[in-house]
Amino acid sequence: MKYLIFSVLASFALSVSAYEFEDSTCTVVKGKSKSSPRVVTAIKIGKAKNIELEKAKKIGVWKQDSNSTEFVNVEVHINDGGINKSYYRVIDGQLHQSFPSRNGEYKFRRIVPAMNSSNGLYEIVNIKGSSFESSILSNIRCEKNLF
Amino acid sequence: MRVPLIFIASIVISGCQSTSRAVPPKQIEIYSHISCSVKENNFGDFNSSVTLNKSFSEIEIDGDLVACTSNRDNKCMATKKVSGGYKFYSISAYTYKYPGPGFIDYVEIIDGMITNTAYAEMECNRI
Repeated sequence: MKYLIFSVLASFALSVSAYEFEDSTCTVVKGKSKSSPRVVTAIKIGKAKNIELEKAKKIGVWKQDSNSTEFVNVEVHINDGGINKSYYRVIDGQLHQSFPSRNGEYKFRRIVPAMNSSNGLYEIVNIKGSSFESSILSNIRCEKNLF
Repeated sequence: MRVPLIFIASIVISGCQSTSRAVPPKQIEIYSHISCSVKENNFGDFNSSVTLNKSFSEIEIDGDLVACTSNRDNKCMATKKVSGGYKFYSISAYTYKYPGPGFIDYVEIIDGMITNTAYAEMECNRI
């Protein structure tokens, strides 16, 4: 019986790492310039979960040079009422995406959550061909278990 | 007679002083490069100085010469290979006044991930 309880607890511990950013809601505090449009109204970060890379191919393109199999579902709410739901890969406490976009662009996204501080980051970078195309850089502030 | 003359002279002198304006220093006419240094970081932390050649075809940054892949509209897009990835720069510089404004958009992509970003206002001068 003891062995059974231990094995259940051990498998649970292996499958899920607790991150402070789980179940947090973030707000954009400021953009890189005064003229930056405020499109994102909220970023909601779910719980991290382990997904084998073969299975993770069904939910995104994961070309980061990392062994991480931890992923987290993120909802990005935008000001027209739309919600973009997608998975980010958890690497060293940061959340990453990178994928081909349209017209030969390659898009990178990073979320660096910061609890109760305005030093968090939400960054989108577009590379077209081999050149810088555009970037949307924002500072975010996250609160845990807000609602 | 002397008092009215002094009075008139003082009015003329003060009038001349009020119409004269301080002329701001101009950029030099003959130059080969534009040197820009960071005035204010709007996002992130970028402190390197940048030197662009006059034709916006090449920049010097952190001791390295990097070709501009696009040089339209006083702008240089440059990509520098570093270990594990690339540093991408988008630099605009204007020298119609002294010092002229400039902007640098910077992104570092290492191992397929964003590892550093910055956006800074610069001051640029012809050299």
